[in-house]
Amino acid sequence: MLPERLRAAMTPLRWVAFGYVVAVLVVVVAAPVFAPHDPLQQDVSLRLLPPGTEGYLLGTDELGRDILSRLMYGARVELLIALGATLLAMVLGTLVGLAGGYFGGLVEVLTMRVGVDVLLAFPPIILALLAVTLRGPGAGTLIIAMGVLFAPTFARITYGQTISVKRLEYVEAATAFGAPTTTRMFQVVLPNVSAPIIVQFSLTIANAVLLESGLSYLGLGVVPPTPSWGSMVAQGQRYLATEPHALLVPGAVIVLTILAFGLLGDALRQWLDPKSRSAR
Amino acid sequence: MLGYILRRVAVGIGLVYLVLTLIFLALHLVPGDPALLLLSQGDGASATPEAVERVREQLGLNQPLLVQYWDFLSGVVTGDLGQSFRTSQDVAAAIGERLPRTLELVGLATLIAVVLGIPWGAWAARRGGLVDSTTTTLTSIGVALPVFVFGSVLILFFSLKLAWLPAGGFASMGEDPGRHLQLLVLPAIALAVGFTSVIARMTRSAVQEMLHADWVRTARSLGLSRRRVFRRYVLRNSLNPVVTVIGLGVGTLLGSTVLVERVFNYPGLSSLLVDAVTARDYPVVQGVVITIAVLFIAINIVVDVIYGVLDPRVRR
Repeated sequence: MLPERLRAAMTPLRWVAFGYVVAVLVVVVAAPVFAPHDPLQQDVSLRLLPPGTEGYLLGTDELGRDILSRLMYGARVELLIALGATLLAMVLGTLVGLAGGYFGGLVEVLTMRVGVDVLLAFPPIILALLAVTLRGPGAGTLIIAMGVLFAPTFARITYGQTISVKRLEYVEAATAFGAPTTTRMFQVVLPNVSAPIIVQFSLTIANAVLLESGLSYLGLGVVPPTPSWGSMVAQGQRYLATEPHALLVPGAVIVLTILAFGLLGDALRQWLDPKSRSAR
Repeated sequence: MLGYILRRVAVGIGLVYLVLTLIFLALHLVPGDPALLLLSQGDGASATPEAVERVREQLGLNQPLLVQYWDFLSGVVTGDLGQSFRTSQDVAAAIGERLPRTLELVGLATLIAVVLGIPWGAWAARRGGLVDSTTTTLTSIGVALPVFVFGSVLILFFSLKLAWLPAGGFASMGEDPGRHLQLLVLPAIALAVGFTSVIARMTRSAVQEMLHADWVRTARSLGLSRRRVFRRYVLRNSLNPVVTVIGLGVGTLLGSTVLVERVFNYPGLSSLLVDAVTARDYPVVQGVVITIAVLFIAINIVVDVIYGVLDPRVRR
């Protein structure tokens, strides 16, 4: 059924991670169908109910809002930003790395030395905060800022791969047949360097969830009252002494999501890119 | 060796220049008038013309671009980072007051991570079996734990439930050294957990690779004990990639500390930065960003020098 290498890569734990990610994606698409309550509906008489309460499976927060529903709608925001930023990073980084590796010379200096090295000289969250200061918080700012921030990793991977591939016979053959540069770059080199890029895609989603939840924990992610996992943790922290579930439940969802995308990345690596070392 | 260090420092200075240029351009490349942008609070209300003019004046936006660029660079080089929009406090002074606290936290976390991570990773690689697979699982979780979640859990258990350590705050070393150290423990652990995992993973895979090298077999066949081969040769040869990871990881810590300081209400750079971002106090944000980026570059120069000491081959 499955190709043998894929079957070998999918350990039971990775299957669980795969199932979790699929479940999250289904919830993202159909949050209104699954969410038992309106995520913004407040009812102070129902505040800070413990998990397991009738009708409020994961309890309520300090304004009486259903935590499960908020997590589901929060997943939309979280995944929209993480996927958007990762896609943007992949496109930007791959183009930059491909150009730098393929052309070499001045292009390489401008892309890899100047562009990539400068971006990597900042801890990501710091540069993201600079972007939020300039553009104000919101999903758009986060996608653009994180897309640029995560691009260097893709650029480095693509660059390294392109350099090793571009001298191979099949690229030479394409040149000999008179294929134009763009064809050679995108139809000959790119497909042959894509495996580690796909692996990095999954790992970058995990990083993006980590960074986004951190920013929204600081109150600098998406604008309230839109629910986000990070801001739910921040709200829960105030009631940590008496009602720890308000923090532990969203915190656990963040951890599980990051773990799941990380595990999927490991599986993808073993399947598509078995030569690379497993150390991250 | 000296030539190598000088070369490395020169590259670092070039990188600092590029970083400053990027930060300068960031303000000017964002579409729209920067002064208007910084004053808008997202509610669509427009700022008064006087306020806009004041911001322009303060940021020097009325000057030609090249003059602004020059003023910016020479300001940074002479340690003049401008004044806060909100409090008019000197930005460099505000940073100078808080930076040592952040560095103390980051330094302690690094120490914990290195002291635990390297022996842990080496142990896992040498023992194999259950120790090894448990290490892989635990370190995977360690890198996936957001510091603000883990920090809160630490507070829940060690401050609220067990009451062993205070939940957060700050006491200066001069006034109350005991409490000062007590208050550092939990934030440093929260900060160190991901870093420890990263170091342990890297050490584990590097040691594992070295243990299978041909020269290890040769050394064993010459009669050297396992212990001696490991101590004298394997560990030292495994440390290079670990040192690289430590250099990069300290940069990550400089970012994560923003979150950890918030969790533990620790008055380092974080509260300065986060409050400034919230209030869109650009000079303060810019100053902190420059400080952290320059620190990160400096740390990586130090790491490269250590690397050169450990492995003479890179000193070419």
